[in-house]
Amino acid sequence: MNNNVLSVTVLNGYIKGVFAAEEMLHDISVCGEVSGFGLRGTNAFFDLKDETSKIACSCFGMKNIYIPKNGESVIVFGSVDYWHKMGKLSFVVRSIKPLGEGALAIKLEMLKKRLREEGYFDDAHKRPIPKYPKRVCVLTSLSGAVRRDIVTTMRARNTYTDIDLADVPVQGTQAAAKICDALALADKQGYDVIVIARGGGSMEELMPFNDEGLVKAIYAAKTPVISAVGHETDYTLCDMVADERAPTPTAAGQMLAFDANELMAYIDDTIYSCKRYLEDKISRMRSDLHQLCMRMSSRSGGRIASAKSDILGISSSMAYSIKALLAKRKSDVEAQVIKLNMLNPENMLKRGYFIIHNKDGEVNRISRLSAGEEITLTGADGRASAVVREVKNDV
Amino acid sequence: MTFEQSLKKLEQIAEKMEDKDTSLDEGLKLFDEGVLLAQECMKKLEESSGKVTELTARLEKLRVTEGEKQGE
Repeated sequence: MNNNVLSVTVLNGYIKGVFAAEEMLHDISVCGEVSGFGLRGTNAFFDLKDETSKIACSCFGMKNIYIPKNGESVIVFGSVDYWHKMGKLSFVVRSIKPLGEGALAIKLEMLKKRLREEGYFDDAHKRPIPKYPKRVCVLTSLSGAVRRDIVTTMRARNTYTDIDLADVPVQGTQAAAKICDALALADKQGYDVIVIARGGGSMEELMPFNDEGLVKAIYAAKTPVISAVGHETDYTLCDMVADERAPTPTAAGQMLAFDANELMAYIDDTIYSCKRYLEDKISRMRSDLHQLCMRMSSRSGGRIASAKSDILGISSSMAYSIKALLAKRKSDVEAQVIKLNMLNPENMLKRGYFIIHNKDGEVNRISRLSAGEEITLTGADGRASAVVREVKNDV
Repeated sequence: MTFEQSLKKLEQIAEKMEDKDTSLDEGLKLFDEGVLLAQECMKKLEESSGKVTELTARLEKLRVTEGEKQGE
């Protein structure tokens, strides 16, 4: 047994030798997530881990070497080394490369694929953004420029829309959860639109907007949601699930703020058109009426003309008859006048007759005379007095 | 009626008035209605003050709730 007793130094030296001799453990690249990163001078110490394992890493002389963040996936290049003084194994890193964007992109792509299959990005689920929103809630960081961009853009076009600005963190590990909470809160306030906005950033900075929980919260919201995250080239899951995507926060402002003057002109135009339609209708009816009158008058004109000619006919024949009648009357009257003239006593006197008067007046019967009575004889040329000698009634 | 509804109604009225089959009587009635709606819309547009409110206070409450959640 005693022959087998080794000192710690000998053992550790032996272990070190084994690791040093194993080629598989030298100049290799290892992929993992950084945790517990710490700098001591120019030396860095951290663990590299994956889902089930981890290994301590040390990096001496961090000059010109990429400094990773905790939680970041990296590829480190170096060799396994056994630190015999401490009896600890360590991976000595000579270079670090961020796997970050590549790995993140793969992860994101997988999440996107799954959510798409689950129907979260379906167009059928998207609600229309109201054209003339009255109340708008913007979820963004009030310390950023986004707030100013949106408010300025909207105010330049109208003072109609009220804007509520809700302050939320837009990056970091807490951001997604806080945006979800704020969204749920805003969703109950009866806004016309909710805008989730953030300025541009790196893919990592925009990661809260690729959060599965946020995607589901936006999907569940009853209020239409506009996503205005990052710049035009940044495309997040939040953009894909939102009812509308604005390429920038300013674009979201433009999307929401209709031009009040333009709208007033439009309303004016509409009423003017209505007036014109009404005037058209009236003028059409007037011309219809006019035509109707014309038709009526042309018909009645014919009737009047024929009535006129009838009347003319009748009246001319009447005139003729009247003339004849008058002529006949005239000749009758003339005959009567002749007769009357003939009967005029004066004419009778002229023809040699006499009129006898007694004291009682004109005598037209012999019986009215008595013997011895004085009478007057009136002739055409004068009068004579006489006395009746005898009266004989036997003639 | 919301602004959007009023405007939509106004547009419908204009469309109806354009229709040749709409009688003059109906047209006159529609026109009256349209003018009222337009006035209403204009009033809403002109009277708006355009409030900008920061909801930090309301969300402060939210933060407190979150703190409690984290403490659990």
